[in-house]
Amino acid sequence: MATISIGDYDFKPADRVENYGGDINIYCCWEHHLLIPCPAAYRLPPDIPLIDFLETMFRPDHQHHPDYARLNYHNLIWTLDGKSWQPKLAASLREGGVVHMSYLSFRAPGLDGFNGHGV
Amino acid sequence: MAHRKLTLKEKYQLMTRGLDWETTYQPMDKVFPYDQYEGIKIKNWDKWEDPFRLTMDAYWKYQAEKERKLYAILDSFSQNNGQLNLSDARYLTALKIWMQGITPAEYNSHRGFCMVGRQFRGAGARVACQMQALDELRHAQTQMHAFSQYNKHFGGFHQAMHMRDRAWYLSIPKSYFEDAMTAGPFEFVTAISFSFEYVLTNLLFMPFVSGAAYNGDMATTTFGFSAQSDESRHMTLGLEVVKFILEQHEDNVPIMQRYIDKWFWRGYRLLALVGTMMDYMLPKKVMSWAEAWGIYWEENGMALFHDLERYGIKPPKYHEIATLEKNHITHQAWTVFYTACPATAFHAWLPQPYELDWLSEKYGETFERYYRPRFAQFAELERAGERFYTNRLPLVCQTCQVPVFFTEVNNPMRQSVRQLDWQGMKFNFCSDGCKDIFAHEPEKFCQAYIPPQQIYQGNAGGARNLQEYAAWLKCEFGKDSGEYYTSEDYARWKQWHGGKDTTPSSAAA
Amino acid sequence: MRDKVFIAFQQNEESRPIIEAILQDNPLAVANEQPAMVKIDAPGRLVVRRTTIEEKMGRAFDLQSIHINLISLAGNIDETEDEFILAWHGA
Repeated sequence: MATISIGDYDFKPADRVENYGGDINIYCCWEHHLLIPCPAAYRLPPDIPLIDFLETMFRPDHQHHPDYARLNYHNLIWTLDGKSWQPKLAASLREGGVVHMSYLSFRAPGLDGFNGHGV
Repeated sequence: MAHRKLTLKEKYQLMTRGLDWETTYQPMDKVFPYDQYEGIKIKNWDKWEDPFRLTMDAYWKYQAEKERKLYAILDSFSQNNGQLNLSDARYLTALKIWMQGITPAEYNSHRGFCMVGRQFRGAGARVACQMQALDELRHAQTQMHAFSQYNKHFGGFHQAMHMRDRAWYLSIPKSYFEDAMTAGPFEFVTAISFSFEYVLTNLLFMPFVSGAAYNGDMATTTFGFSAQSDESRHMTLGLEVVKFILEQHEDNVPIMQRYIDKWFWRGYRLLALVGTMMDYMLPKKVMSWAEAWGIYWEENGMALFHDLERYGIKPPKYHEIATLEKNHITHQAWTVFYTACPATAFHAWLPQPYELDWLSEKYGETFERYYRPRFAQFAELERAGERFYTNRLPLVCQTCQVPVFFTEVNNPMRQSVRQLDWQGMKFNFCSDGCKDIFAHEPEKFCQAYIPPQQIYQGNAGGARNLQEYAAWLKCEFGKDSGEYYTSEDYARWKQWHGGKDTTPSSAAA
Repeated sequence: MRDKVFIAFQQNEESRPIIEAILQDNPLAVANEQPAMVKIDAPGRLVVRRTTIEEKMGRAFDLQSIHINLISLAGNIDETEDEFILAWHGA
């Protein structure tokens, strides 16, 4: 469907990738860890390796959580944009198929928040 | 010859009809270019009728009386330092959100009705829009007056219009009204008069204003009820507008159904903020969000839609989802407020023991299982001196602009995220309801001003993190924002009470 | 059971005779008192009658002035000088 209007109605998306100076905007969520209640937004270069993203951007947000110390990057169960995803940690986000406005989420088997409460 | 007094119906006819004329220099369709393009067909504008049959003379008379009553009380409130009678200064967070979120929305509603009053070609409809535009302006002004007394003593009341255009949580009501104002006039009245005023404002005004009374806030009770007496007229008009449009042409039915679906869902998402007022910000509790939803939606709202069945109108799409979510959304929203309050103009806190018990009583197993443990964990961090604040910008829904804290209805531990590809770009949503709304008008919603994206693009005064963003909002940590129990508001409140903590210990007054 | 209509007023001296009149004229109506307000629910239909209010007040009353203390309502409205009726017309 299209927006009904009285004249031409053609506008560019406010958050198109050109507005990010070569970077992209992505979202990432550690499921069952609702201490941070919403998936988080990150601006980053698309060529950043997944492991670097996890170590330099994801880690500072989550390292105070007691589950973080037991987090094993190698056995995470990922989804990318709603589909199952098996990324290589050393590969860049772009190589892994992550694009502007992608939504990444993962579960860590056995880690379900404080006392298993999902927090 | 003696003059016979006109009946109400005769007076209404005389004072709302024949005030207009058929234009001759220009065709009517050029003079009124906005009232046909939505596809709504109106055969006879004279069928538009205000069931209250309110005419301008009676309107001025009653409004003047309401204003006299209101200002007598506001004067008395400020002369007697009425702010000292509050149950607890935590209550003020609700007023701050009102001042920052609802009051500017009243003003936008005023602007919207001024526009729509110009766009409709029927004189009766234009008279009704004129009255409502004046009402909405009155609401914005009286609310600012009422809050000005609080602004003398507490943080967060100082820059409502500045914050409205910048704060992430205020983009929610802002985008609701701006979406309506940039639609056609029929969609605007369905959005504001019907969906917002008729279907949803009871949930805002009735329990909350009653709650203001319960918590000793005479100023808010007074403006709230004074405004609500206008709302009941707006609500009535909202229902009449919908019936009028549906009766004019059968082609109008599917268009109206889509408007009703869209604006129910948008309004419901907006009300997630209100629900937290009832469950978390009123120190003395009136009713829970879930109870209010049961009364005002499941009972009264469904009665309304039974009545509209005869026109072929169904209850709004996804209303069952809203009902399934009623035991969850306020606890989830409060978690966001608790963790993100440094980047707002209000304070947040953990519920006190008596409040946890009240929430358990109202929400039973759901609260015990999912939310009480969450607050217990936050409390443990506080005891360890690590009061938790989030430092990261959230994923915000492209349609309703609410940070995506909602969870799947069958799994309260998993955030509900939906996605859509449009013209080679991905867009993210909080729900199927919001995704559907976008899918119908992607050209419109792709333009949305989404605060986290704007910050990352450098459009929030160049802020690079939440601290700089808060400064750009003109919010000072401890004074306007952050934890309540370490705030200036709390320190001042305690000082006024001889240094004692006066946090209530029970939900009853 | 028919769907309920409702009308709510501020709790004050002006509303008191109006509420009394409504409860007298609508035997099935139920008043729910909440802080600072009264909500009256009735199955299907509710009438507010000028003459009954005038009896309670002991003076003439313009029915339109119920606006001043009205908080909210639900139902289709039909208003004349003498009666203010709230009703659902559906099934």
